[in-house]
This record gives sequence, structure tokens and C-alpha cells, in this order.
Amino acid sequence: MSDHFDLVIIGAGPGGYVAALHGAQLGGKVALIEKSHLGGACLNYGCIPSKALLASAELMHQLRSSGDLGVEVFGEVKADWEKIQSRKDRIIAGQRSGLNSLLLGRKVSVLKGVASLNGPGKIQLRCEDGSMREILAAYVIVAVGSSPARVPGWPADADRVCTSDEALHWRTLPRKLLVVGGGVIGCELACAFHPLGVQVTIVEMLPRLLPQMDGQISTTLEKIFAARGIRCLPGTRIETMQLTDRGVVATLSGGETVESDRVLVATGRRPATDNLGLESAGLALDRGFLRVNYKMETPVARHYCIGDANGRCLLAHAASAQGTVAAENALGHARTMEGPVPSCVYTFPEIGSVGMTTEEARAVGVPFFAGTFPLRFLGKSQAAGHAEGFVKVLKHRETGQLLGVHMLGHNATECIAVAGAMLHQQVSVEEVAGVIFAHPTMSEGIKEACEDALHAAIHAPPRKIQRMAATV
Amino acid sequence: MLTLNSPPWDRPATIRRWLKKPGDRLVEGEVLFEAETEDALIEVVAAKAGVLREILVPEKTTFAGNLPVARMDLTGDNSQKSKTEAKRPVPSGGVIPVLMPQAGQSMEEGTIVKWRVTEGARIKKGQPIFDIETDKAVVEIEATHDGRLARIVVPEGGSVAVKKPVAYLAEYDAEVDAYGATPIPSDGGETDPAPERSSDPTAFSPSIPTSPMGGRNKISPAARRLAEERGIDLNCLESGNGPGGRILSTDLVGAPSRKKLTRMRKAIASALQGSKQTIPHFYVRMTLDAGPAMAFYKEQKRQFPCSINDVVTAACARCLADFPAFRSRLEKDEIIESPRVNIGIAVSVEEGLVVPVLLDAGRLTLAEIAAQTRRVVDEARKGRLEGAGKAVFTITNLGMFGVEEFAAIINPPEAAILAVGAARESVLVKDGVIRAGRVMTVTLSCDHRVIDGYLAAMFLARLKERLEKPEDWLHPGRINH
Repeated sequence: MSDHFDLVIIGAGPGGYVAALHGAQLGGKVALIEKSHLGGACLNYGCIPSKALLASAELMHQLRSSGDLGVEVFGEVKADWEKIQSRKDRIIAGQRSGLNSLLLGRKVSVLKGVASLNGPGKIQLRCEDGSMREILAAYVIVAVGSSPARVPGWPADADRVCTSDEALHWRTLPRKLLVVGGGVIGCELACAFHPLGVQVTIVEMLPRLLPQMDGQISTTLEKIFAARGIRCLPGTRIETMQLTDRGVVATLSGGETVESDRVLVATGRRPATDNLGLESAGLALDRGFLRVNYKMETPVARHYCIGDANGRCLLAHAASAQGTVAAENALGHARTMEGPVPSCVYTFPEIGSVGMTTEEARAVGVPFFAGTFPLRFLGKSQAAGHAEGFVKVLKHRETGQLLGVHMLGHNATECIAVAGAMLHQQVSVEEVAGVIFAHPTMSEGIKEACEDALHAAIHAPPRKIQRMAATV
Repeated sequence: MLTLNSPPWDRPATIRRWLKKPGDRLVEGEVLFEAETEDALIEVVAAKAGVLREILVPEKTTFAGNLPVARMDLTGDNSQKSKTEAKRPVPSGGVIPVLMPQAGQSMEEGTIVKWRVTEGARIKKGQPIFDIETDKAVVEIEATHDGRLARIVVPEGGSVAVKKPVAYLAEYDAEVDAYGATPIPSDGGETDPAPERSSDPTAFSPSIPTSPMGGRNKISPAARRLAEERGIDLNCLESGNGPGGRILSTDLVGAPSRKKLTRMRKAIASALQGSKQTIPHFYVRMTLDAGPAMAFYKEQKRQFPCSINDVVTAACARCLADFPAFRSRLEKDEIIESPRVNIGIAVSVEEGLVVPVLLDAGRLTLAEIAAQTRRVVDEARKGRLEGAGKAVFTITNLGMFGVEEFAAIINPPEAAILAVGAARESVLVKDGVIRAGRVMTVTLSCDHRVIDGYLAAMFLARLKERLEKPEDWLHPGRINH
């Protein structure tokens, strides 16, 4: 096999493998280097395993109220953690092998080993058998992703003070779990473990859970969690964290101490850009990230960076979109990254969000109006037994343009796709109101919220109108 | 007339729609307009009964509140007024035309950029009623009579010759019809950028579109806004890349933009076309050693701000004093020679080109030339032109952009213009010896009816001599004539 390639991609996550497949589609000779498993954090330590666990957890959660739907379950309903884990492992293995076939089918050379740059376009590969190999690339795409951040100074016992990497593959469940960080990962895993009988406390330093989401979404989710028995402590810091014979003891900023069997540290993710020899190619890091422009170009010609490692947007689908952009630019098709990136949280109820949040719009000073619609007014939400949640849309008050859509509710992660498409086309809320949505669906909430932004929601009582006098 | 103030809402609000229009009767407590904040709909009602005269804040405008939003007459006032008016003798026919004024000698037509009052409004003598744009500035025009503005015949953006009616004052619309007043389309009658907000009552219909799918090209709100900002004519775009040909903001990259000539552009167009078509131009070019002038101005710069252009201006002032033909202009069969060395400095401004004038440059020291040039150029950029039309000669310099040389068109009624290129690095040959240095190419455009080639050559030779030895004649603090 020749060691010259048109395109060499370091990292086979959702950014890297998409770039490889697309590069091959465009006729390039492509190599994809991976030091561990195909699929990256998304398939092995993130999106997919967490969704597998959440599916079991959600079923458990629903069974608790199955009586409401007229289904009586007799005898003990028990979650078998071992079986849940092995199901998850099967799903991962299946996806990995599917991915491998896709790469084979497109004749992408998958190289196993640890890569580092040794000058521009030159890659040193330490293969799994310890041998070294040099690879020359006309174009390089760095797609090394990120890993969970750990808190320096906290106990290094990875069995008890863990990150999502370990938690998703625990062989046993803890009895009491302290989740540090109320972001997407913290909320999803809290939501996954709680129905399986784990007592969960979430501590978030910022004043609300999911700080990046629209504030109304955060506060509503917090209420839902609290009602369910998940203890939420936003605006709280962890002062100390110690291992004792009874478990892990954390002292909170309020002075309270929280005892737990295990701690899940979900305070964020750090780019995995260490030891890549980037400086040999003239590439410099900025707080660990390898910064790029809208074409995914680094400052050094013929070198691109996509996904978590460039710090633009730490989401799998953003990485995939960037992978396509980088592969096209490398292979001579000018492309830039465009359009809004939706973000989803797979708690139950789910959250889908795309475009500006209320907080962002206020910060930028855009004159907006927020239309909202409670999902309980929809026939579908009642029939499906998922009445909680709402849709909120932001409208530009002067132009009528749709600025953002935020949904908390059953199937919100699916419904948000339509909102993303509409934002991509820069439509006005009037135009959304003119689209025919299928009935009965949860997505009707998006149309109704847009109508509310026009003060004309059909299935909601009329808005209260304030009256003021213009004085002479 | 009374001013209606919006309520003092706590957060900025946007007027969603006006439910009343000028001329409408207001009943106390009736909704005037609807406003939106981030999460509330506010109906604003009139605190007093009367007649709405003028809307000051249009729809889709965001503001902080507690702002005058409209003008109205109280019902009582109105009846009183009509009583006194009834006593006053009505002028013949009852119609008074409002004319486009002549704001400046050279003004032949004016463009209305803004109407400050709407049809139906009652205006008072001395009240600013519209703004016109001339080739030099935007001027506010005041009413010359009291009365009711019955009809506007020249809309915003429209142009009309001076002393022609732009509107009519009359108590009754029918009187205007009888007077034979018809609205004229703005400028040429074609491709009039349609006014966005019509006074058509259907503009106040509910905001949900009845048929969002049908009709003409669909345009995203972002694209519409961008097009407005950049003056892009959306009619030029057949369709965009959105679904069903929807025009998106990204489609506007590279779209042709169509803008009406501003008054300034029109003035430039007609003056320069006239010049090039009537004046027999000829051009004389010379390249000089710019090193000494560069060194000289840099030395002077330690004491006062000055540029190489100021040294060129000083040298020209001196040469203009030497050669009267360059201070002359042709008028019918006479040559009129100006005793004063007034030098025009071509300045590019946002909308085009203006030529402020350095009066009596022959009587100024280098320091004064530098300071005055700076001042008149700054003023010109702010829209105030000094000494307009008084120049005898113009200097135009594109050297700062690296232009090596160019030929300019004479700015009538002047007899010549000097185009100055960059002081660029080059090889100089003197007495068979090559050395590196800086050269500058200047091009003199002359009116052959007044100046001959020999004279032009003499002028340039003298200019070169002065610029190559500035220390011989130019004393920064002293007048050099």
C-alpha cells in the first residue's frame, strides 16, 4: 500500500469518518487514522451509548405511570443493569461494524494507531504493533475530538469520581450519585440513572441548569426534575471533594455536605489536541483548540481542523457538517459552513433548540417578541400521555423574521428539525404560520407558537392585552 | 396642534400597527396603535378625543417609550379653528400650490428626500414641511403659508424643476381636483422604488397572510433588510436559492444594485460631461525627482502637520502667480484673468467628489496651506463646501493609492487641472549615473482655447524646478511671493 494520500484524516469520530466518506465520494484517495474505536466519542462514549441507556430508563419511567394509560403491570418491575449494558454494547458494536463496512465500501484506508505530525503534510503513525510508519498527505484534516474535563485537585479514583467516559460503561449502578455540572451531559445522565433507582443530586455552578439553553427551558426542566425527585442545586459550587470509607463527601458552597457512592464530573469537555506534533507543521493552539475559519482552514495551508478540536461547536452533527465542508475544500470544491446548528437534550421530556435564545437576543439587542404555546393544548400530547412542556419562538419585531425555536416536550429532538430547516431558509413567523402541519402531532406546537407570536394562536386562549394611554 | 406621547413602558417596544391614520377622528379610549415588547402586546389608547393629524413614529419602529408618537388636534380646538377660518377670506379657488424652492443659483431641480408632514395635516407658516437634496446638501424647507396640506404631488424620492408645485394647500380635496393638480411620478416615471408603507387602508389588515405561497418572488426578511441597506433592487433577481426560488440574504452577494443618481452624482455627471464635450483638452506629463520634496515635507512635519500634497500645492500657487493664463477662463470672446490664486482641492466623499477651495493660496505660508487644506477638506467631508466655484485651478491627487499617473478632466470654468501621482520608488539617472530614489509623475490637463502647449510645458518645467529644490524658495513660515 502506498503511503501517499490525497486526504489524511486524524480521528474517526462523526467529523472524521464523514469527511473520509465524503472525500472518497469526491474521488480522493483517503486515509482515516484512529487510535481506538471507529465512531469517536459520539458512538463509543457519548451520543449513542447514552441514548441506549436512556431508552431503558425512559421505559422504566413510563411504567411507573402506566396505570394512567390503563395498563396494569403486575409483579415487580426491575431494571437489569447488566442487560441494559450489554444491549448498549451490542448497539455500539453493530454501529462500529456498519461504519467499517461503509468505509470499506468507499475504499477508505482505515489505519489503526496513534498519529502525530512531523512537518506539514507528514504524519508519523505508531501502529498497534509498535512499528512506525510515515504517511504523506496532500491535505490533512485534524479531527481528534475532545475528552471529558476532570477537575484538578479532586480525588483521582476513577472508580468513584468519574466522567461520562466511565459512567456510560459502569458494571454496577451506584445507590447515590452526585452529578457535578448541570449541562447537557449532566442532565441526560441524571435523567438516565434516576429511574433505575439511583438517588441523584445535580450541582451546577451557574444560576440554572443547561446554561446555554433558553432560560425558560432551564427553569421548566428544573421543576420537572425536582417533582420527579432529582435534587437540583443550581448556583452552587463544590468547595471540597473527599473520599471516605462511606463514599465521596462533597462540601457545597452553602456549607452543606453531600454524601454519595459515586460522583459524575460533567463540567465540560477539553479538546484532545495534546501530543499531536502540531507545532512541527506550524500550527498553534489557542486554549487547546486549533482555530479555523468558515472553510475549516487552519492558518497553515492544506491543514484543516473539524469537530470538537476547533472549538466552534461541540456537537456531533456540527462536526459532521464541518467534515463535509473540509473534505470539499481540500478536494477543490469551495464550501463554507452555513446555517443554524440545532442542539438537543435527550432528557425526558426532550429539548430541541435552534437559533437565538431569549438571553442571546437580549444580549445582542435584537428587538424580539416571544410567542409561546403550552403543549398540553395539543390533542396529540394528551393522547400520547406526554402533556408537559412548551414551544417558544422568537420573532424579530420589526421584520417578522423567525429568530429561534425552543421546545421542551415529547419528541422535541425530532420536531426541532423542521424549525432548523425554516431558520436555514430565513423565513418569517408569518410564513411558518402559513405552513400546513400534520395533525395530530407534537410539531403543531411550533406552528401554534408562531401564531402566538402574531397574537393569533388558534388553540390557545387570547393573549392578555395591556392597555396604556398616550398622553397629550 | 398637540403632541401625543407614548406611555413610558419599561422595556423598548415596537409599534406593530397603527389603527388610526392622519385625518381620523379619535374617541377617548379608542386604540391608536398596538405595540409589542418581548412578551406583551400593548394597546395604546388616546387619552383625549380629537383628530389625528400626523404620525411621527412609523410601524415596525422600536423605541424606549415616552416619546412623541403623533400630533393631534383636540376636538374643541378644531371647531374653533374652522370658525376663524371661515371668517378669513378664502383665496381664489381656495388652493395654494407649494412650490419647489430654488435653494442656490445653480439649482434647476430638487429631489424631495423626506416629507415631514402627511396629507391632511394642517401646517403653519414657518413649519418645516419637507427636505430637499441639492447637489450640495440636504435642506429643510419651511411652509410659506398656513393651511391644510390637501395633496402631495411629488412623493419622497421624486424630483421636480424649481418653482413647480410639490403639493397643494386646500380645505377640500375636491378643490385640488378642480385646480387640475395631478401627482407626478418620481423622476422619469419608471422603476420608482415603491414606497414600502402605503397609506392604503389594507396595510392595516390582520398580519396573518391569506396566501403566503402564491404571488411573486418570495423574499426572506433578512434578504429584504439587506437589500434595503445596500440599495439592491430585488426586482433584478429572478429567483433565489431558497425553496420555490425564495430569495435569501446569501443570494444578494453579487446581485446588481440599482440606485437613483443623487443630486451630487447628477451635478458631477453634467459638469464633467459638459467639460469634456466643450473644452478641447490636451495633456502634458512630466516625471520629477520627488526625493527633495519628500525630505522637505518630512523635515517640516516635525513642526506642523503637513503632507507632500501641501508642498505640491505651494509650488502650484507659486507657478500660478507666474503664469496668468492658468488663472484665466474663457467667457464668450473674452479671456478673464483672476488676480487671486484660488486653488481647488479635489476630495472624494461618500457620494462622489467635491472641490473645496483654498482661497488666495498665493498669500499663504506652507504651514497655513497645510492647516487650511486640512480644514476645508474636513469641512467638505462633513458636507460644508468652502469657496465653491471660486477656484481658478484644481489639484487632484491619487498618489496615496499608489496611482502612478492619470489624466484629469478640467473643472469648468477653470483652464487647467493638475493630476498628481504617487511619489514612488524608482531608478533615477543623472549625468549617466544610476541611483535609487523616488519619482512623481504629474499630468497637466489644459484648455487649448486659453493655454498652448508651449505655456503648459513652461508651467510644468517651472513646477519641476520648484519641487526638486524646495529649500530654494519655500520657507515654511514665510509667504513666498
